[in-house]
Amino acid sequence: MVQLTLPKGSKPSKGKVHKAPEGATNVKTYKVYRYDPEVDADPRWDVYEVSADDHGPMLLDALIHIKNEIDPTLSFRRSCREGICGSCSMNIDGRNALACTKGWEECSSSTISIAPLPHQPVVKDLVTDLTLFYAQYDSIEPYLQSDEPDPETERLQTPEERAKLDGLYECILCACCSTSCPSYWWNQTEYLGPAALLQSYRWIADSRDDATDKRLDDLEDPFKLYRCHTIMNCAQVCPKGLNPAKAIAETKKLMVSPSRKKTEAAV
Amino acid sequence: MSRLTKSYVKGVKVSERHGAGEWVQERLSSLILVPLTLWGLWSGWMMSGAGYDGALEWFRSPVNATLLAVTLLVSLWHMNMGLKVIVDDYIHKPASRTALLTVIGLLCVVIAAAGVFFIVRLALGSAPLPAGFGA
Repeated sequence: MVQLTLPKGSKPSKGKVHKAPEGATNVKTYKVYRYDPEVDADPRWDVYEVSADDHGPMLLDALIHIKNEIDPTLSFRRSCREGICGSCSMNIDGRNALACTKGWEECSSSTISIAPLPHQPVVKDLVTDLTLFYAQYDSIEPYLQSDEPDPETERLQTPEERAKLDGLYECILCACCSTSCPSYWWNQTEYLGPAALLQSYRWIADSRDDATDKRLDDLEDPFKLYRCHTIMNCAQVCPKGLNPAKAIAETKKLMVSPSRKKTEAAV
Repeated sequence: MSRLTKSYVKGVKVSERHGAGEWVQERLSSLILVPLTLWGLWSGWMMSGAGYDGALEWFRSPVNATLLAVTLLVSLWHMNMGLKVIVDDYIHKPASRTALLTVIGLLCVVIAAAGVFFIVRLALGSAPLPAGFGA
């Protein structure tokens, strides 16, 4: 049965409160999820009061400020700080987002909660274990498969064919969509999730790729593909403004397209 | 293929190679139910005030009886598929899942059989229940 409450050892308790210094201006309060599975029995919410005047405009600026100036034990992933590497995805103010592209001014709550991506094993604090997520991406064979011999120059496609990849190729695999999807929460060991399915459609839609029928066969499964119930959380949270639900819908349409030819099942 | 026999490669499920058919059936049954549901609502509206005898009269029309039987059967077909989706979503223990799906399937068959039985009786002008049953 689906777990509707957090199991024992997962319920966060109250943690430390780091008060802002006397006379601090423009103070923002952050409630940050802290958990080190090797040391802590339970996770906890640590509270940090930070003067927004001391750091830049983004949530990631606030986190880096906290780590540098207040509490060096805080762990989180970050790299490019401009929304292209997908490392700093986390649950901010109740919604999955990239800390580097989300401004603290955009958060409406008086206390901004910052938690790891939902329903993923926590490595430490805001760092989650995305092994399964990457295995799912690997399983959709995310590379060009052509029956044509390698050409001397680029494989050409028309501007119209290229335009079909817009809204697909921009995915940065930050996992915001998959970990916001209830279907993925309940069935992630079997459902591929919106990110892997969008990436799969990126190759299905590519005019240069000849493996469409095989790709569709590998996806046709009551769980791998058809657990998508168009809940649309994926499209709501995607920090790149993509629509994985639409890519999944297109895949479902192709599944029943007369042009589809079923391939031999691999043994 | 049950959850016990399904296979995985590097932690990711291998395709069972079906699902599109079920997807089409879900949509097909929904489409059929749109006009039938509207017809059912309209019939109910038209029957209001006609009384018990009026309702029995309505059932004696072969068109009404046939459409009602089709509505019932397609509704149960649709309901069975919908409940399977819910069970698949939320029930993860293979034994519980199989048991629940079996109960739901049997329930649909019993409702379908009973429904068609009564519709046929009413269409033929008999009393709803055979002699010796009920009032």
